[in-house]
Amino acid sequence: MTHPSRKYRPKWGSVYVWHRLAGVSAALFVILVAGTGWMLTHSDSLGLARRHVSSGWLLDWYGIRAPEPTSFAVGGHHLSQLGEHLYWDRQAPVQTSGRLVGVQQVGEIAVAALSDELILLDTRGEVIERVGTADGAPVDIQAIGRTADGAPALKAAGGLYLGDADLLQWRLRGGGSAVWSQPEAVGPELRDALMVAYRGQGLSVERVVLDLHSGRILGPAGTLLVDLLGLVLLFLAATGTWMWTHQRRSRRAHRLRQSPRRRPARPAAATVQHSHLP
Amino acid sequence: MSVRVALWVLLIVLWAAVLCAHASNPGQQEFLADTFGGKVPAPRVVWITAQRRPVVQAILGHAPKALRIRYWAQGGRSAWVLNEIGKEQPITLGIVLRGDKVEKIKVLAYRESRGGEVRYPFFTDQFVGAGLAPDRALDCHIDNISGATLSVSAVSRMTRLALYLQQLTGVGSDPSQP
Repeated sequence: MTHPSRKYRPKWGSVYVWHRLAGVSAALFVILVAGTGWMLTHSDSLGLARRHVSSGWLLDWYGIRAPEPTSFAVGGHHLSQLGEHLYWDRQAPVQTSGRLVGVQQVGEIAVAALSDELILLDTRGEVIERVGTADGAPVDIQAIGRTADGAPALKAAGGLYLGDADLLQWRLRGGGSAVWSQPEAVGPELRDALMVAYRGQGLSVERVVLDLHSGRILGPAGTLLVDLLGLVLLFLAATGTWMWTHQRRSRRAHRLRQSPRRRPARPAAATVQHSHLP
Repeated sequence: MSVRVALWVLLIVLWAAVLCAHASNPGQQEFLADTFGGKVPAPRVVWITAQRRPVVQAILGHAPKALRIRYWAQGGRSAWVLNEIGKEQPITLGIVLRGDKVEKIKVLAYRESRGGEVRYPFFTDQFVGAGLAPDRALDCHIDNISGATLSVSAVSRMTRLALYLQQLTGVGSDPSQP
C-alpha cells in the first residue's frame, strides 16, 4: 500500500512539468519532421520523384481516381487512353495532350489518331514517330479510318485527308467516305490493370513525403498541427533555457550555503549603523 | 522631366527588343520555308534501327524517343527539326546542314523558364561550320553559358545527332558509314 503523501501529484504550475509534457508530446512529430526532412534533402539520390505510390487507400486519400478508358482494338492489341496516358495493352504509357479518336493499322504500323497529333506505333507498341500539326498532321482530327481502296484516311476540321504510303504527308481530299475506327469496351481484367497503372502514375513518393513534412497530408488541420509543433519547440527552447539558468543559480546558491568560508563578509559600515539602532 | 523621357525611351527599346526576339523565333514551317527559299521539299525519314540505336543513345545520353526521324533535303543541304529536354521542357531546334557541316541552327521553341540565352546568335553562331569528330563529338569548341549549361548541352546533343543522322542519309556526303 502506497502512502498517500508519496503518491505522484503533478504540480501544474511548475515549468518542469509543462516542459516534460511538451517534450514527450513533440518527440514523435520531431522524429517525423526530421526524418522526412532528411529524405527530402536526399530526394534525388533516393529517387523519390521517380517512384510512385501504389497503395490504394493513400491514392484514395489524395482523391486520385482513374477515368474510364477509351479503347480501340488494333491487330490483336488494345490501345487505351486514360486521362493523358495512352497505353498499348498494359505497357508503360505515352504522355499525350489530345483526345484519342481512333486507331488504324497501316501495314506494320498502327496509327493512333488524337485530336491534336498522330502517334505511329510498331507491333510492340514502341513509338515510331509523333506527327503534330507542325509536321503536317491536320488540325482538329475527329476520326481515322480507311477508304474503300484501302488508303488511310483522317476526318478533320478541314474535311477528309488521305495519307501517303509512308505516312509522312496527309493531303486534303475534301469530300468522300471511309470506314472509321470505332471504340471497343475492354475486358474487366485489362480495365482493372489500366486503372491501377493510371492511379500508380499519379502520385510520387516525393509528394507524399513533402506533404508529411509540411503537414498538408492532413489538409488545413495538418498545417495547423505543424504550426503548433513549431510553437511547442519554441516553448521547449524557452523553458529549457530558463530551467538551465534557474538550476545553475540554485546550484551556486547551494554551494555557497555549503561552504561558509566562501561567504562574503558583511561590510563593516553596516555593523556600525546597526549598533546605533535602538 | 528628362528622367521621364529617358524611361519612356527605355520602355520603347525594351518593347522593340521583345518583338524582335519573338519575330526571330519562327515555327517549323517558317524555318523550313526560309531554309529552302519558300519551296519546302517532301519530307524523308531515317530509321533508328537496332544497329544505330546504341550510337544514338550514346549521343543523346538516353534511349531515342522515336524509331524514325524526318528530315528535308535538297541540293546537298538537309534540314532537321529535333526536340530534346534541357532541364524539364523540350527545346525545339532547327538545324541546317550543308554536306557534313552545320550551316545554321535556330531555336524554334524554348520552353524552359531559365537558360533562354541559347536562342541568341552569339551562341548559335558558334555551331556554324561545326562537323562531327571521329568520336562523334563536335569538332569545334562551344562556349558554355553560365546558368544555361543543360540547355547548351541539349543543343549540342541535337546538333551532333543531326550530323550523325545526316551521314546515314548520304545527303551531300559519303554514306558508307553505318
